Parts: sequence; C-alpha cells; structure tokens
Amino acid sequence: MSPEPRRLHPAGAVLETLKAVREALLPIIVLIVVGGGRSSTALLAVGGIVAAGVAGYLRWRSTTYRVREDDTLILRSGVFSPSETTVPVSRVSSVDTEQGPIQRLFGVQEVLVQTAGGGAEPEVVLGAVAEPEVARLREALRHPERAADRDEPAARVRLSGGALVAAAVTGPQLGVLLPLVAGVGAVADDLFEESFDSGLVDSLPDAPAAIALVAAGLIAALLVISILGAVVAFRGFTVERDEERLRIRRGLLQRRAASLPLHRVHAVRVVEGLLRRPFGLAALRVETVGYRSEPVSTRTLFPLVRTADAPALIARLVPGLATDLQPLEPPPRRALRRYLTPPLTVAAVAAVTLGLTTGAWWAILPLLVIAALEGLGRFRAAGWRLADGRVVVRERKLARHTIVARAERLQQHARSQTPLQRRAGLADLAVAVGSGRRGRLAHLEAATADDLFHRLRAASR
Amino acid sequence: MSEDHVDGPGLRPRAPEPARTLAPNARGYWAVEALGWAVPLVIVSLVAARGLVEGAGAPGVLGILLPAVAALTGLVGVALVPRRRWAHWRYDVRDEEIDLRSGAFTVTRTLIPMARVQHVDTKRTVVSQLFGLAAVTIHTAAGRNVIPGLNEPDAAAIRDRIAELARTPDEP
Repeated sequence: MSPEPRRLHPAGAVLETLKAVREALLPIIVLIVVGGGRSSTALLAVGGIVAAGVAGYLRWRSTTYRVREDDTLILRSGVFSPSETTVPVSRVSSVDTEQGPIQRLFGVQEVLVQTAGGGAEPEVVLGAVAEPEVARLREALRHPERAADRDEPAARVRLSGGALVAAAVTGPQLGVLLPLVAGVGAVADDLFEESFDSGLVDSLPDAPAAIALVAAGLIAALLVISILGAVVAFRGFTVERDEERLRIRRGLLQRRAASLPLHRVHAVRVVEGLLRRPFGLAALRVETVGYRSEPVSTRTLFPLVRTADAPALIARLVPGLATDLQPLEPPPRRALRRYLTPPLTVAAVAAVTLGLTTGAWWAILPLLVIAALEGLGRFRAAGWRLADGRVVVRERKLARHTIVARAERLQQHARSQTPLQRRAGLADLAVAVGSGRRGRLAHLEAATADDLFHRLRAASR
Repeated sequence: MSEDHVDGPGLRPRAPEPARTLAPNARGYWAVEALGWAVPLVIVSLVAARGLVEGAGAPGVLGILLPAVAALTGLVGVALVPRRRWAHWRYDVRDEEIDLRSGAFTVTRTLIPMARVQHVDTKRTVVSQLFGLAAVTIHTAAGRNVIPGLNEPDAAAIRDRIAELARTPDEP
C-alpha cells in the first residue's frame, strides 16, 4: 500500500453529512416548534441541512489515512483543528469490517481497527472504504482477510433457518417476559376481585379487562420486537475457522463480520436459558481478552445448538478447548441445604414484604416453591471437571452456565470459606477467565476445594 | 488452616500458605476509615428515627431500635472488622505467582499467576498517608486485586518486584 495519505470513499461524505444532520436535528426541531412552522423557519431548516452537507463534505475532504513505511497507521481528521491518531501496526489486534445500510448502498465497508489493551471503542474507524482498498489496508496492517484465500476454512458452521427461528423464540428476552405475563395476570385477577369487593364493579366494569388487554398487547409487542431483534442480529450467522482465527458473520440489515484470533479466546461458555433447557438447547459464547465490548450478540460463538452437540461444536470451532462436558463432579449431598437457603430467604423476605404492603399473602407458597426449585436446580447444576488441562465449571443462575477454559489461561482462582462453612468442612472455589467472567462452585468438600485449588495452581505454571 | 481438612495422599506439590502480614497500624487506619461511614450512619439513623416517631407516628420502640442497630453496625465496623481482617490478611509474592489471603469473616485465598499480571500500581489516600500506608493494586484481564495496608516503602518495593516479574513476555 502506498504511504500516500488517502481519503475515504466519497460515500464517507454522505456518512459525515448524515452524522452532522443527526447532531443538528434537535436544534432544527426546536426551531421548527418554536417558529410555529412559519416559512422563515422552514428556510432555516433547509439552510441547516445544506450546512450539514457542506460540513460533511469538508470533514470527508479533511480526513486522510495512510500506513507509513515505519509501519504506523496514521489517521488525520478535523477541518479547523486537525487531529492525528497514530497506531503502530504491531499493536493492531483486530481489523473488523461492518456494512451498514449506507455502506451497502455504495458497496463499501466500514473498517474498525482495534489495538490490544485498548478501550471499548476501536482506535480507528474508517467509515467508507472500497473493497479492493480494504484488502490492501488489511495487508498493510498485517491482518489479511484469510490466509491469502488459498484454501477452504478448516471449519464452517452456518445457522439454519429453523434454528434461527428457534433461537429467536426461545431467546433470553422471553425468559424475562414470561414471569411478567404471569405477574400481570395475577395483578389483573387481584384488581378484579377488589373491584368486586368494594362494589366498584358497576362503575368500572371493564377496567381490569381493559388493563389486562393493554398489558397483553404490550407484552405481545415486546415479544414481536424481541423475536425480530434476534432475527435481525443472527440472520445468516456463519462461523468459519482457519488455523489462526475465527470469523463470525451475521446480521440481516447490518452485515457484521468480526474476526477473533483463536489465541485470544480463553474460554467458551455454554448458556442454557430457562426456555432452552427443557428442549436441550443452548447458546455458545466466547470469552475473550481485550476485545471491544459490544452487545451480547457479538460475543456469540453460535446462537443455538443442541446441548448434547455443544462439545463437538466447541472442538470444531475452538480446538484448544476441546473437552467432554460430562461427567461433572457434583458438590456433596449435604451441601443441598446450603443451596436451598439463599433463594428461600430471598423468597420469604419478598413474600412477607408483598404480604405486608399489598395483602397478597397467597403468593407465599408459590414464591417459596419457585425458590426451592431454583435452589434444587442450582444444586443439581453445580459441578466441575479438570482433565487434560481443561477446566469445566457449571453453575446455575436462572440460566445454566457451563464455562470451559484452559486451566493454564485462568486469570486467577480463589478458594473461600465462611465461618459456617469452616465448621461444616465445606468451601467455595471460584475461577476467573480473561473476559472477567467468573465461575463459582459453592459448597464443595473443603478437601476437594483445596485439591482443585492446588491442581489449578500446578496447571497455571 | 486449609491443611486441616486435607485427607488425600498429598502427592501434588502444595503451595505453602502465604506468610507475610500487613503493617500493624493498618488496623488503626481501617478503624478511622470505618468511622467515615459509621458516624454519618448513626447520625442519619437518629434523625430518621426522630422523624418516624414524632413526624410519622411510628411506634416509640423504633426510636431506640433504629439508632441501636446503626450504632451496633458501626461498632462492629470500627472495632471488630479491622482486627479480624488484619488477623486473616497474608500475602506472598513469588516468582511465578501472587498468593493472597483476605477477609474479615469469609476467608478467601486467591492465586494470581505472575504471567497474567498486566500492570501494578500503588495508591495512597489522604488518610492512609497519615498512617504512612499505601495499597498495591494488581491488574489482570479479569479485574484487579488489592493488597491494602502496607508501609509505603514496602508497597513501593512490592510494586516494583511484581512489575519486574510480570514483564517476562507472555500471552495476556
């Protein structure tokens, strides 16, 4: 790539104009509202848009980038007070491309350059770069698209249409909504009874029904939105792996492509949501170090997989983490009581508070039953495994999470003991992976926890 | 402590428990720090109790109970917690790992492989300077761990030693 400073594709001017319009939108709206729609204010609004166009053009003209001979990427931008960003090529950790609606219109890509140890935002964002230039830039930054496109990827997995729908319908959003539906139903019931008691039934006969209807409508709308959201995010989900990196492509409106160096994938998490577990389904997430923090969907390695097939899929996509997820060593039976206590306590406090404030004492039993089931579920989910340098930790926090990590890559591990546990000869063990995610095993035999602590120590050297 | 429960054959090499203690006046420093929230807590509870009993007509017992609970919490925070925390705190910086033991009631032992350390820094506050104390913060990709209540020269020495040991290049 020539070291000459280059401008972005002219589509960049359009992007900058839109950005300027967005920035100016509020003042323009205020102006129109205050002006009451007189012709002079309309003129002002048009003037504002023209000014945005000029500003967009100037910003595009003043933005240049180049890769200097000494291997530094230099981005200059700013009309009146030019700023210069310098990124050594050796520090570039990822080069991602995205294609929003505007980029699609012009057939160009947005290029995001991220450095190791950088913050959440990519260091350099080039809004519009033409395809051939993207390849040249990747070459210059030494992050080529794939090993020179010479062979097929070592693995490629695509999300089928049926799986997409299943993923959308059983998405985590529904897990939140379902109790909401139940809650609204209960409240509506309550209202109905109360209006009965107080003789309001004549004056407001339809109120509870109307409330229930509005609530149902609202929930239905939320459902549709969340399902559509999942489809938009995961449509066309494809993962490819070559020797060094994972490439993840997804999205309906905004085609996103992200590449992840395999050596930065320190752990994989199998998440079995409340609605997915009964069907034996799960999502796979990647836990990486120093990758830009983005919505959950970007940390998705694969949106939907049969839990039974998860180990095979992990082995295909992240061979370094290939291991069996079964059998896991459970905590001792006498720990069950301790797993039940916390959820039951929370439920009891919630039920009493609810009873005192609303008089809904009937809720005590269902709440306690739900809490007991959650406690039992946590006990039965808890388990660990350490074999061939891979550590597996499973725990349940509503959803069931199974972390698979290379023991030598753990950021830290800890064993802790409360005074009560000390008396009972039990202890907790927690591991932390590079993304900051922690896996905690509660109430193991103290001797087991110690043994695991020292085995993990041995593995980390 | 943990050895009490070991019943295995002990074939695996075990890390010795960390041995170094914090500066003795860390207890005093923590007590002063705790006063920072304990005193306001008691004052607020007194005001709130008066407001509830005289203003909102809550039962008179509350006027005594609320400040009493606040005072007891403050007393535990100022008198008991700093001592227990100091008694439990141990640390060691070895060539290949940092070994920490902490906790006032729940005792946690944490092991951080040296290769995972991204950077270290020392921190002093206005109050800690009065005691000649500083804290060392160890940053990894997963978060940070703090060794508090160290004599300032000790803290600087530990920081430099960890920085030196962690410099050996490795994957993050």
